[in-house]
Amino acid sequence: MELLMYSTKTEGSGERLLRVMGLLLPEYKFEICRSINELSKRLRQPVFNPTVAILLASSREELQDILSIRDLLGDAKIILIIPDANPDTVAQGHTLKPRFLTYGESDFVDVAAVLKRMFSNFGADKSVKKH
Amino acid sequence: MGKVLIIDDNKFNTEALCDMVESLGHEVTCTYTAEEGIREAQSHCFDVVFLDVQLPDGNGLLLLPIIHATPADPEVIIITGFGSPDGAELAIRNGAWDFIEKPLERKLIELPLVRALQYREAKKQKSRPLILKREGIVGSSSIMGNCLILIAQAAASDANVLITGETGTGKEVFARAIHNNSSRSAMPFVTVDCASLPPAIIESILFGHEKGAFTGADRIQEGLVRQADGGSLFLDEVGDLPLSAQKAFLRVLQEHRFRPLGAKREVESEFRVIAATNRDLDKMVGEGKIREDLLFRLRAINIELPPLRDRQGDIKELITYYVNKICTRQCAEVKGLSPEFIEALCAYEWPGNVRELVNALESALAAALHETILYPKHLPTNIRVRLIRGAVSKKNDTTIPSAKMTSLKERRDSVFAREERQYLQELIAVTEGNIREACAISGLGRARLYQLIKKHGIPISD
Repeated sequence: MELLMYSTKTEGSGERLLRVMGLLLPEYKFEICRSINELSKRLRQPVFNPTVAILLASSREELQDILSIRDLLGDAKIILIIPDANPDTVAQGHTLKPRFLTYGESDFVDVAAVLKRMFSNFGADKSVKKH
Repeated sequence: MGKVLIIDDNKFNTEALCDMVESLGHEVTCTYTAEEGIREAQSHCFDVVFLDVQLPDGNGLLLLPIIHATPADPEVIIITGFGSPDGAELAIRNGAWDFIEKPLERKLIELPLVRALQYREAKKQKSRPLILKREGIVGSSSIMGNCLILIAQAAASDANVLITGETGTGKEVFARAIHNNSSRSAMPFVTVDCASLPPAIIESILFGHEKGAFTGADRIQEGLVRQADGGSLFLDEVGDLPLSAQKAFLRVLQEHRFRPLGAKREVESEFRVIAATNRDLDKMVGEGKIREDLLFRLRAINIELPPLRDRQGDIKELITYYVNKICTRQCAEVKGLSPEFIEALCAYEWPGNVRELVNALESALAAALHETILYPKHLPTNIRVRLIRGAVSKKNDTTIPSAKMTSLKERRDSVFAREERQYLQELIAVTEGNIREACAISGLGRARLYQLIKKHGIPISD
């Protein structure tokens, strides 16, 4: 299960997200992209299809950046963190087809809980396929 | 206004019926024999035919198939002064719309006529060519054509839709196609991943909450149901929706009103539900895992997506579409496809459906990094193994029931030699005998390449 995280921020919500993930999901390793170019480049690489992509848009501009490369995200299950709860921002967020959408001011415990469930479903799928 | 034909030898009855139908605003043609009636039905387009049973030149019931075979295929209402249960049954079995006993009264004929004309109108609407944005749905097989018709019908209506099908058949793609082709397309398409949302927080995610509604609710949050207002709510893996949430959601489906957790007032949301699952929901109802009333509401329209093995005619089209898409995404030159590559993909059963096919193409394109044409050898090993095992066992089943077993080493050497020969033949064919190019592609030195060509006796044309 490949996990990709996009966060341009190393402080504030970006730092909090990483800290909570490290604390609640220490067994999983995330590949982190710090710029939209880095993310775009990574997603264009052959045979790279992240199972889950956690995308933190710390501003509406960043959300636009993410939307501009939505075709590259393929089948990845997207967990989207949007900068505010403005209806326009929320509506734009939903065009990315996120499996879970939350806000930058969240404590991200909800993100960890959703991720944990995705991991466990993924494990169950694998074991079913093996049989 | 409908076009109505009356076939009845009784002139008095015919005139009375004609007056009644005309007074309802329809155009009427009257005929008095079977022959005359059939001639009219065959030369003009009627919507409804009133047909008497006892005609001077034949039994009206025997005309039913002939009338239905005319280009307009009108609805036929049987009228008779000598009604019998057997006659009525025969009429209905032969496709009559209704069976009315004389004397005819306006109230007796009005409702069947109106309903028959409404049915005709609905049938015309259905048979009009459907314009559909495919939104990434690839395939032109008849089975896929039927699915597209259902998608178009679902998009045109506002009824809830349940999409079922195996994993990887593209349920989400179809759900989006319904939304994007509907009158709600400018409004949000909100996904609820029922399998990934923890049961403890699913209701707060669906319906939202007030500040302080529960521990950790440090601010007001709008739920997904409200965010879908005016648009579509996509319940993916709906079989995983916990029973407690099902009860609450059923009420929202019925009333389109709900109370966020901790809120004093209800809020409204006008949304349409598109649900998807790969599970047998009827069985789950029996097991008490899904509420029957919820399933009933979700399944106003049911679209069953076929597995890829049932639409093998679409595989070539899918390969071309996805190879182009992947190469474009990777900013790479689009690679060619050898006939053997396509043949191999068409022979495979694809238990993981379109998703597995796309993953296999991604792997093949990566394996053929600097090569311009895809061959079966570029496919993932697991697929090649299954294909080769299938082919070998098929061969053994039919032609070599008691093949002599050899040692594993001999078997390996034999398979290796066959593959090596096949590879070299393809290499020489692709490079048209250009040894320098063949060396570059294969990674072999010139001397080694010549040695292998000689070993397998492969001809090189100058």
